[in-house]
Amino acid sequence: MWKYEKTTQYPINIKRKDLRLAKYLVTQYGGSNGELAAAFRYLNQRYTMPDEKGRALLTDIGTEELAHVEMISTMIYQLMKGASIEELKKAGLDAHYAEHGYGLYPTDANGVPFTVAYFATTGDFMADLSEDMAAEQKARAVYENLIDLTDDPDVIDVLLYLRQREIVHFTRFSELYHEYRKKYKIKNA
Amino acid sequence: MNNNYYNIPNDWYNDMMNDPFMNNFVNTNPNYENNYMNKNTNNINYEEGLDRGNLFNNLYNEYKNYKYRKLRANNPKEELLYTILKHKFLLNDLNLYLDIYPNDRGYIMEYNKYLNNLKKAMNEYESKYGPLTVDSEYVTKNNVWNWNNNLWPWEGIK
Repeated sequence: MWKYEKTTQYPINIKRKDLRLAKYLVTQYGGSNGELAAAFRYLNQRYTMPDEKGRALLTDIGTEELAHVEMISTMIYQLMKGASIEELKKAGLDAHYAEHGYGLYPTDANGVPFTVAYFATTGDFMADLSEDMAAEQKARAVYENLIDLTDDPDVIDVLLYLRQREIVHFTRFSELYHEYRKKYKIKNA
Repeated sequence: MNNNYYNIPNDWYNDMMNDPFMNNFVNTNPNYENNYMNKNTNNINYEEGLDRGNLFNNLYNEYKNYKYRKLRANNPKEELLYTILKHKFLLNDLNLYLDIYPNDRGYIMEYNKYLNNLKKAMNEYESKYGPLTVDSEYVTKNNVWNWNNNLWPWEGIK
């Protein structure tokens, strides 16, 4: 069961329209290392975690990722708000407009639509946790690339914040991974 | 003691910590066996956890020379909202920590303290500015449907 709270996890107030950035940033919504993939990867993997710690951690991080989906969506919405057709064309968002108008749609930065293949679940908890650790690192790297691509402080603050969350999540997954390695005497990981 | 309209206890945390029975219970309860006090609660950045997106000093890692910005509220409503976000953040980061280290009594006490602060701030915010959750006490205040009476988060903070 989930409960909606009428706030973003971190305040977002982007004042400057930036369609090019919206076009890149969308990858953290619908890309392979994005927040939507992360949320459902963990929420989908949690059923086959071997103990309460794993079930709790994947539920809680998965839930936080849902809040990050809202943050990224909010950023894209605010970056595109009030754009004219001419501006959309110039930024290469005319194809997006043809399909979705001003609506949001999860794709990567190249326009490749979101796919559930990103959930990457094997049912093997060590393999799945390795995947999760890698996913957090990849998301951190993408946030760094995005920070490099903008000079808007209203955007950078949020990206820095989300980057830190990847670091914390990586640490917790890693701690669980190493605990399981000992607890279940895993030799192959 | 309960001086607010909806009877939400104002300071259950301090009441609990000053209660000799509770103190004795915590120290002698067998469920607390093998537990330890984390001596390292100064690893927590209570004030700026939300601003930098990381509660734990030992996990904080700067990207290039970018500094996180301290959130500054423009009005009393925003200030109260930031107090709520700050405590929700602290609770969330402690939540993930305690999932892995559930016996860390030092951090459990921090968790209780922040939860107490959050409940007080939520009560004040919702009574003044409207509900943040649909099952809030304030959602039907004065027999009015208040759920859609304030902005949705993606519309920005006013």
